[in-house]
Amino acid sequence: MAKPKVALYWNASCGGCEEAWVDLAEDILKVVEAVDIVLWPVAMDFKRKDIEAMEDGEIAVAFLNGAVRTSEQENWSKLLRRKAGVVIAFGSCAHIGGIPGLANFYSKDEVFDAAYGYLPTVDNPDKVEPQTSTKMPEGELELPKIWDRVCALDQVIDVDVDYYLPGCAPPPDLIMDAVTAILSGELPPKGSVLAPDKSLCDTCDRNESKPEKLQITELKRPHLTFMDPEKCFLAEGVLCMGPATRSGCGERCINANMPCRGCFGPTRDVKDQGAKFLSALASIIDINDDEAMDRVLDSLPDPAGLVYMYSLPTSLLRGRVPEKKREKAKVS
Amino acid sequence: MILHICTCKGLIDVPASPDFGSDVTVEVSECLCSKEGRAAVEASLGDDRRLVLAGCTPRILERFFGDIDSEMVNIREQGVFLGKGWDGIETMIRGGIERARAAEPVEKRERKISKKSVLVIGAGVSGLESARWLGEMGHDVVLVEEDPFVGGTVAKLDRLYPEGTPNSHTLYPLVNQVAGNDHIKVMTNTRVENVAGTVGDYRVTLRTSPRGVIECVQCGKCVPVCPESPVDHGVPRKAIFAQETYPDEYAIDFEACTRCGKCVEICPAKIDLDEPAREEEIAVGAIVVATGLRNFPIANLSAYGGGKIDRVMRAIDYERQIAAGIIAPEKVLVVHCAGSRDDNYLPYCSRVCCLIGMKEAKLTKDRFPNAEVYLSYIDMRCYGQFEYLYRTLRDQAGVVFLEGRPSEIFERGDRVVVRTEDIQSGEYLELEVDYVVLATGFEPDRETLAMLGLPSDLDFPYGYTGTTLSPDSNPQGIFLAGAAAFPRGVLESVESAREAAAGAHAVLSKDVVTFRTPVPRIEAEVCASLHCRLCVPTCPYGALSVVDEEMTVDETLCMGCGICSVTCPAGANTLEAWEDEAILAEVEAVADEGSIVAFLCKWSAYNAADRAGYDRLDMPSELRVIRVPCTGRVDATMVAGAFARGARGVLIGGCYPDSCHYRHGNTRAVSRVKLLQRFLSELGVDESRLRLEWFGSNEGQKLVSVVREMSGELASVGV
Repeated sequence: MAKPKVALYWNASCGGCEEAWVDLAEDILKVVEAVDIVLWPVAMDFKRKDIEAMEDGEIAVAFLNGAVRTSEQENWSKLLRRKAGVVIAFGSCAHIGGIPGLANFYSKDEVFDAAYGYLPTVDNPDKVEPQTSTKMPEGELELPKIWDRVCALDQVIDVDVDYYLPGCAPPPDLIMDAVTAILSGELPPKGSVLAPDKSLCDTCDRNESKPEKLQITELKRPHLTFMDPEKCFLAEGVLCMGPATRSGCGERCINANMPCRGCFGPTRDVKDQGAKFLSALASIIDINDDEAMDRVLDSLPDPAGLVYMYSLPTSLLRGRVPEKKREKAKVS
Repeated sequence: MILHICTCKGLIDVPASPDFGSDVTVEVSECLCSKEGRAAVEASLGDDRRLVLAGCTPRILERFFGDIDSEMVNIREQGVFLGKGWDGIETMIRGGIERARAAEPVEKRERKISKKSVLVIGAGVSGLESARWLGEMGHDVVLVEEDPFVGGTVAKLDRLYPEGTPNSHTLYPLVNQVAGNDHIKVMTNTRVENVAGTVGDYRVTLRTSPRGVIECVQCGKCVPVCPESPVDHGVPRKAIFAQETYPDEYAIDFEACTRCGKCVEICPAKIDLDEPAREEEIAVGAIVVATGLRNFPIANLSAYGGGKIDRVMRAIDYERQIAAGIIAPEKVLVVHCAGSRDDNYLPYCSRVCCLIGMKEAKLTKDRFPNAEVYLSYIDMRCYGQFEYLYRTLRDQAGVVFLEGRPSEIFERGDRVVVRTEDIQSGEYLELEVDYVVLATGFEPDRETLAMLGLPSDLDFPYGYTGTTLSPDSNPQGIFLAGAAAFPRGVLESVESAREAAAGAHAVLSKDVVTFRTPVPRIEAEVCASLHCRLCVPTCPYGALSVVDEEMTVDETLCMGCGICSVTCPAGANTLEAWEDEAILAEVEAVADEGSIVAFLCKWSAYNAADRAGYDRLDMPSELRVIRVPCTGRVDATMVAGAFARGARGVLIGGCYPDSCHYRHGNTRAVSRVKLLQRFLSELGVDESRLRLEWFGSNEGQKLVSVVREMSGELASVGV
């Protein structure tokens, strides 16, 4: 019997999700043995036309990592959706927007102004910006179009995601669980996130140091604070997104003595991870005095950036609200 | 889904056949509140069917349909009365429909009152009075007292005010009525070790410590032979002793007893120094807590010589020593507010200490008319009849009132020197007195309150008692009598003891009590329970706890404010019928480009919107009201949802500071809004577009002004 075909693709990503496959270590041999990889740009040489030539649904599973911001990423996503039976949003960026999604705090023009303009490392006196098409003596060159907004994979029209494998990057055990489930055909209901439903606190080793009444009177930032490697971050006044974040990551950050930043996304019933965390935070800040409250909030210079570090594109507002009328953010 | 639209006797123009989609059956009624209207609603009820009732304000609709699972849309007060045409009303109704689709019904929870007896903890004057009333009503009462004798603090006192009569006037008939009632079982030397269960069926573990005296003929021969003389509230007695209350048997104070055996030898009946302690479990339907006052320890007041100078004493010790003829003061200073209203000691006023201090002054003057009595105070609080006591002391008895706190108290020989300022005369005084009496404040019985899981503020169970909000309370099984709730004098203690008895009676007379308050549902699959617990301390009523590793809501305590739901960052805790999804669904259905979405607390700001309707005020048509139980229920998600729909502004309207129905929901909203404003401005939403305002129920005009201001102001920031 022919081995099931698998495609691995990257959109706007850092490459960490590719590393995640390599992190399977010897388990990757089991994967390679069980499946036939038909696309993996980072490691193997396949062309787009190879995929286009396939029948619709011919690929058993496509794992797509990265957020979507360009026409090229959009087209690849749509192509793989057509060709694959199952599409898995792999990693935080494809799942909830991820770090590239933070660009939604700015308009496309502002991003271009910075990236091709005023940043100190940029030398671009003529203010040349990428064009979708450029006429050269040799002929016309094309670059993908950059959209106004960064999207998670399922926010791209016509790209229906079957499963989500969360994490920045997804940990090896969850990847293997997912692969095993797919190979055995024992898949959970469509739309599921392939990770536990409970919040990270459920598995965090620092629980025991959590006080009965967790209340915060000051906020400390990790780089300005000595953090006790045994104690609950929140109890110490260091903001930790753990309570608002799905578990399953293996507490990699916590074990490295850094608070959770929410890469696994919200728990099952939450629509907006950042807003939920913010609501909770306001409840546990134990200050009644207005000025003292302002002082505490001053020590949190970028609340939206913190609570939406990974999930801005999938938040209710999806990014900064434009001056004029809001637009429907779906890439079309 | 069935939608009932009421025309409110023709006040609301409803088009011929309003259409809300194929899955919504519309029934139009002339008056839902009428007999026919109510019958029509009843008839449309079915399993799992959620109704939408569009008509007058929920303030009225809840009277008739409070028990029916429904969403209420206020198309009269906040619809036609505020100038909305059918378009606006239709939007409101759509909001209700979407909310109803997303909301879960409020589960009707019942508890059987299976145990018909009542436990009264503490047999002081309050416990005795509660037990007496309950016994007279025919309930079986178990009255437990930690001491070997009933009577509590009152039994130790010389006299009681406002009458100024000896304690016997109050206590003796009361004790006899309790001890003589067959319905009342009195258990002395007994402590409550544990309370489990809930209203209707509490399991109580009682521990009875040994009395030592097994049989007693009250010959009193044991007393002279006892070599130990412990001091009981300032007055020495023997380690084996009796008290003129109940039971009429001697008892051994085992803390003082050295087990010399002399009493055993002389006793003609039976004394057993090795009597074992006993434990037993009883089941009761209700509990009255009457554990009374705890004196603030004067050793904490060393600046006043407390605990250092023997002649500086507590009021109760002083009173007993005078009554027993142990001391004969010639010159005395009574220090009022000793350690009270002082952040270093007790931040609050215990209210009764002014009266106690005056009582000691009066007692001194009665017994020793020539004694000089001084009384230092910062404010005299002599309410009601106590003003006469104050005037008697000042105008007739010649007690000298000095305004100011003493600055220094120290010993000189066998006298006590007090340095103080009299603010009235502006003089600095040095008084050399025989005794200084510290009229200290009182502390709550933290141990019992904690065992019963009663919530507290300043350690007193404020939210549980002493509230004007009683009709909105859940049926409770625990009632506080007397000074267990807050320092109370004898008069008020006795009154509150009757009130507690009435409350217990109301519960015990029913077969079933019903809880209709919506409570948060905990999604066990998502909640990290034991490991998260963020919600637990935010409950103003202590209704959340981890039981068997699962987060659990005690519906006998929950009042349905939803503050904990907002706190749950995992979305595992959500208030039924007021879920995030349901409120967000309504927001998304009613908010549109340029609207002002107002989350209004149902206790205050929502009524202000009704008021605006009654007064036919000119409300901007952009206003979209979302009714919430408390501003503390408003989640950042709902606010973000409104802005995501293009809202021009979001208003959160609640009760004025310190007047939240749920104690501190609105103060939580303050910090949440501050944080949200910063968060929103990063997302391009100017902070002026989110506003928190307080409203009284009648401040319709203020609401109109705020909404107008929001549209005006916001226009200028270019939105």
